[in-house]
Amino acid sequence: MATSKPDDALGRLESLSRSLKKGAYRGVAAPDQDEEVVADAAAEEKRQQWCEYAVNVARPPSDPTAAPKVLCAVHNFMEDAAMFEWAGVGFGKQETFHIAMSLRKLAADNESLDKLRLWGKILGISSDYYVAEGVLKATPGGAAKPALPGSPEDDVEPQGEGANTWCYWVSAGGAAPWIRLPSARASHIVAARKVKRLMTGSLGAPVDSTPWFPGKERHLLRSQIARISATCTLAVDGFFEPDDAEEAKKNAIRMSDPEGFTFPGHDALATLDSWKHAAPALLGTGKCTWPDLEAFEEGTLSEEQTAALTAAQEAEPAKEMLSGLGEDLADLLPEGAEGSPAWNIKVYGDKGTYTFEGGDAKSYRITAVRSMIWPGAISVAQGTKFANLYIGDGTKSAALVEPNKESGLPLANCAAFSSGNVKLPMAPEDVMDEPGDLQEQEEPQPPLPDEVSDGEDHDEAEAQ
Amino acid sequence: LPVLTVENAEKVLALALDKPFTGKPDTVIEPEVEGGEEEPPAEEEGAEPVEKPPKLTEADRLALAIQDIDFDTAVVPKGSYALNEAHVVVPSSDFKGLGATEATGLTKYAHFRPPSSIASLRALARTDAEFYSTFLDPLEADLPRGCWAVRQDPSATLVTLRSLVWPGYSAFHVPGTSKYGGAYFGYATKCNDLAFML
Repeated sequence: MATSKPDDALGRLESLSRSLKKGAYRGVAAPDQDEEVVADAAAEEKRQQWCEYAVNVARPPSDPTAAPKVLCAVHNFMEDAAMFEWAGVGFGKQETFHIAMSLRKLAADNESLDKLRLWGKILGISSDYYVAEGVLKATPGGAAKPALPGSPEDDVEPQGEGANTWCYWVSAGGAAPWIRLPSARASHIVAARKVKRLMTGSLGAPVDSTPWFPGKERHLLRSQIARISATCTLAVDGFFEPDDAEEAKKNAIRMSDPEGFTFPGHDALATLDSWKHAAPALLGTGKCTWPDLEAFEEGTLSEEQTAALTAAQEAEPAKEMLSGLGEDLADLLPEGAEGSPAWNIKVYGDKGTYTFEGGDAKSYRITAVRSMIWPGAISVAQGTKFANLYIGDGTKSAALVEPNKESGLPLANCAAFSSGNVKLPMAPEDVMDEPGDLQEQEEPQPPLPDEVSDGEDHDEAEAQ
Repeated sequence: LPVLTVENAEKVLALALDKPFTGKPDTVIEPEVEGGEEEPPAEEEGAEPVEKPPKLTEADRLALAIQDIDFDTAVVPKGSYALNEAHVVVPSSDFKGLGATEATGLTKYAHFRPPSSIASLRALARTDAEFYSTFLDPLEADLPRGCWAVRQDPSATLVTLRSLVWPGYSAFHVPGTSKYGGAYFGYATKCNDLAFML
């Protein structure tokens, strides 16, 4: 200390003298003993296992001697992560690498996958979920028979349609395996709208909520993922076009012909018009389309059922695919404001424009579109690429949009207790009339015993 | 940022604003007041007219929000701060970090704010307070219970605490070293429904 002459020499001297005295002290220990920091055997073990796993997963999935195995179309998450980093969203370089390798492992283990990408991360209480989204290869076979409305088969949309266009796997991160989530069910989606809960991190955990949710955490997770995907999967204008091929399913979209399509310029990308929904929107029933009434044979549906379905279909028509963002929540827009209150667009990065040989002005800026109702959902575009991601707790939020102008209620399906999102009364209503008199009933008396007893003795009966 | 006085803080709270921030610190948040209501009192001879107080802007609301968030968060490992002989809170020179396994327990973290819990006030008042490290409010007493999510990264070299009440706040600690810290990135919306969501 005499040579280094620190500023707080007296303080240092005090702590030095205290540790000296502590070393020589043999009596009762201090009430709040400092614990020694020793090498932790459990932590060392964990570290060792992690290193082994990391080395294994970074190896290419094929045998070095055989021909390289070709996997399905796995998005290059590391490239997308560089874009997301500009928008302030991401996992850091090391974790991004591990996620990318883990995705590759999932693709190598699943032969039936056609496409795979990282959908995002849902944060939970004890543990988080990394979610991977994939498209399964189409299975040969004709269209399934249309299911009767109300039947259990009707609850699940067929694989490849509606909310089940994609298939999801979750992992707890690190060396945890990928577990496939069940298909989305319309009844679960409808119930999930009324429930607001954080994920605990274990798929089999019960969902204690009011109103009751008919499933475990994996079903709630799948329903929330379905809702988020339906609302927040965006694509730039013109990238997709409706698929009118014969074997295409309802509402299918395909990538546009590269010749007919020019990626929107950087100025256009900063407006809502350049972005479109790339996923079918969920209806109030929890599915994406109304049942095709003509496909049912005569007599399978009663007249009331048909009338009810037609009326519901007119009240809430299915949204067209690839619809724009400008109309989302347009009724909540405050006066004088433009755009949609559900979306927020920001531009990051190098906003300069550069001219390269033979091309238009190029810019390296990143345009990010964030959802205001599903906080954590973000879509970014840079140059000629775009990507979607969700990092959040999987709940809808009404805090960032205006309440309804007429009723003053916040956005529907966002509250912790949603009994139809009505304004619950603060006190019972005034009693104006006396309650009606109850109709008086005779007291129920058992009939008096009129019969004379036999006079037989019990003993005699028993002896027989 | 402007220094927040108690009156201004109460005014901002009374406005009960729940819209997100606009991002422009000059935005006036007080609604327009009728001209007749705020007439200055009649001038006395020689007295100067009372000036109308300046309107509250978003910068004041931001200052209050930061104070709120900081009160509920500001996580430091227990033992990283100590009281010196002058009863001043200073970074402890003895602090070498928490152990790798004990760092994943919520009991080993505290709030870096003037203590308000009875146990910590009692520890602060003792004459031998330098030997105690419990003079800061512990994290596990935060309500609702379970509002902190603790994560250890797979290689057991970093522990992160995430607040569920203020989504967007994260604190970290590298066990075995004296590195720790915390930051908030978010819309300054408190999760008021947390008790129902856990």
